[in-house]
Amino acid sequence: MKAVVVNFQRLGRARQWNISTIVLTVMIALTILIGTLVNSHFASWGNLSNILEQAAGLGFASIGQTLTILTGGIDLSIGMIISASTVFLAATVDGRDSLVWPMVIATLAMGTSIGIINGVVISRLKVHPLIVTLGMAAILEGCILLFTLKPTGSIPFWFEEFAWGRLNGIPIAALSMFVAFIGVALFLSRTGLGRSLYAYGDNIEAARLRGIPVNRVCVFVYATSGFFAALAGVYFVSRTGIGDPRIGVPFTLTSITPVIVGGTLLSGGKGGVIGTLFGVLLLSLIGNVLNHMNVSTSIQWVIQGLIILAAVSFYLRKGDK
Amino acid sequence: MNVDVVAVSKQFPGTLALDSVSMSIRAGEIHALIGENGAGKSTLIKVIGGAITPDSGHVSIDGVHQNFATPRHALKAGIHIIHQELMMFPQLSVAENIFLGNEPQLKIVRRKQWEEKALSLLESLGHPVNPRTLVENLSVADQQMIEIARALSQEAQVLILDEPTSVIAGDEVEMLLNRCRELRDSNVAILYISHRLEEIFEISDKITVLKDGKHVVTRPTRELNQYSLTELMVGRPVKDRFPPKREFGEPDRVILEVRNLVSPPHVLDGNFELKEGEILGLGGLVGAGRSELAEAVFGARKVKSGTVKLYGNEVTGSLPIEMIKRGVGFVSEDRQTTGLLKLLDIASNITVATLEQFCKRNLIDRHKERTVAREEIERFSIAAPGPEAPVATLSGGNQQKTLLSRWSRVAKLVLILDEPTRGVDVGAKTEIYRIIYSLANAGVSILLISSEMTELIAIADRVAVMREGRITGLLERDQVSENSILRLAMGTR
Repeated sequence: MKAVVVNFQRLGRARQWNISTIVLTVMIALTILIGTLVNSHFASWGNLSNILEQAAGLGFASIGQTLTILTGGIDLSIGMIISASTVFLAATVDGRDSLVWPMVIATLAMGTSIGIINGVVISRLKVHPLIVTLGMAAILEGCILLFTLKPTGSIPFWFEEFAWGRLNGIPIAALSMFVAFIGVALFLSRTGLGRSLYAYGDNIEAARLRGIPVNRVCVFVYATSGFFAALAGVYFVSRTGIGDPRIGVPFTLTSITPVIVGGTLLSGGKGGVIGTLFGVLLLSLIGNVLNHMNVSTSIQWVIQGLIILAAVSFYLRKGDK
Repeated sequence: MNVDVVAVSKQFPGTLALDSVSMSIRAGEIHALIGENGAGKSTLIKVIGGAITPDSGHVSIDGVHQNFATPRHALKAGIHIIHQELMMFPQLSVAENIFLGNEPQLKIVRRKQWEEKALSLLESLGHPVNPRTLVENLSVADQQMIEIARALSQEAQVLILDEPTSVIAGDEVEMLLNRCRELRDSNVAILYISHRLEEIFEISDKITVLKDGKHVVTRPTRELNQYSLTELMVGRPVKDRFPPKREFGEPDRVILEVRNLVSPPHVLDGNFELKEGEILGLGGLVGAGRSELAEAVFGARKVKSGTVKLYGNEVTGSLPIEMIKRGVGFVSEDRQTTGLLKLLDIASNITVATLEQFCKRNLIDRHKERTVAREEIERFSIAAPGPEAPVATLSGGNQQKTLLSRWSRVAKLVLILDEPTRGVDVGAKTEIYRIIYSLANAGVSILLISSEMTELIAIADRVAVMREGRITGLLERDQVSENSILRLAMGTR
């Protein structure tokens, strides 16, 4: 009994480092081991750094998703914000050097604005986030397809550095992803607003009654989600060189997977981005191992589904006490 | 700071919660607000605190007209409230529960500093709790002390306490009252709500009585005594409030026997016997595990060990549907979420637990359903236009009578009633007591859970008391009193 109490006190202190991170670390190690058995070059820096580099898109998208889920919500417009961002950035830049930075900033501002609209509608009209962001996704998809049905636009060659470049052998994209995760983790644990997200997700009525500006918190969360989705869009433009109206589609759902696998409660109030980072790493490694084993994409989807179910039942059992 | 409430009205579906209520809270004064459950006290303070917008009327601060749009605005003006329902973040720590929301949003959180401040606050209240503990692991008494610590930690101009002592006892109550006096002497305006009249007389300067959403009277405390106050609250002489105690012999046949029932985390040792035609009261503080014990008996909660016997047959761990088939009914505490089918009509609400009686070849016979519902509306004197009236349009009392009708059709042997008169007006209460008596007289054994001590004393034949998950005592008819219940409920001597 005593041991249990001590354990909970630890949890209270280090909310984002909990049992799920330990389990995930073990699973990541296991995956690397299996990968090495499948292909002896799997654990080489060359392969691992490629995996990290490719994980950045999913990583950015799932940071925003973690925040929405922490508050007991969800953002189903992430995929379409990614698509819209790639099309907008590639089409407006269209190969011109001078427009790259202004348009990157404009893209990020666009994603943030879409998120702000989501947040305002959710908090003012008190509509469930699922419905609001689903509606937003449909609107965005329609707008994108009105503009173009095919991949479009282009960027100057040097901008591909963001997704492909290395700094002393470390992928710039992976580095940016880690910086983003650590920044958001610190924000969640060290600022009043960060703690307010947990309070919001835990008991929104209590949060409101004690003067936490719940509407502003809500707008902030969806704005952040929109920002990171747009950042993922920027990454994909840098990686593929074009704006692709379909590229974001899978990310609406795949951005949720690492959050759940990382131990954030779907009902909100518990979890954090550190778990999500581990989730992103695990899923990317598994995908890579399966590629080495020549497993088809369809089977990979099945496996990803099984991982989600396993994670959820594991966390539920733990919550049973 | 002075607060004036001017002609405030608020309508909720089915009830007029506040009917043109006016009152004033003055700086340097402890003003007690009393009234029965459902009198409108909590609604009134939520209006003052900006959590509810009134339909008409307004609140003014120092003579300036203000209707706070959100609790945040009220807090900024210096109005702090300890709400009756504990408004906690169960998954956050004690320190976070005390300080979250008080500090600017973008400030860096100094965890150590919060924890030290939290501990010293709780120590000054004589109730040290580890500030790192997650609130979900604390007892309700601990949670209440945290709420109190939170409100006291701030520079309140106006402090409103809604039933702050309902789950704490002894020294802690004294400590709290002393702090309130200190605050009053430093010119804070205090509005104090409590059911415990001794406390009210000990601490207040002025008393306002609310009844059925209306302001009854405001008077200096010294002009009142407990007896006159109760009469003002109830609106009629106290002795007429409950039906006369019924004659009831000593039955010997045990219908329901519960032994050492354990259903963690809320039920640690449940023990009682329910005899034929008896009304057994189940008392205790909020959070003592009374509802959970009843749910475990009814099969709505997992049982870890112990036995439940019905007529001598072991039925431990049955499903609710099986208990219903054996003749056990359960009117739950929260009729809005676990009782009513809110979108359906009265007839469907009455028949849902006994639907097979209304089925022909698996199809519902609507005609028969309506006929029976009409009879039930008559029998329970439910004020409704007819069996097809949506149950959501009824008042709290009539909704409760609808549920009583549903479950009395099931309960041939045992009927469990969890807070059957909560949020019900005084008239409906009397009718509900009458229904309980007539069911018991017809031979149904009744387990009555109630937080209203007067109700237990007046209605129950015997009273079992629960504390922290265990039955701590059984009071026979001649032993039942407010003191004896409280002593067992709080574990004091």
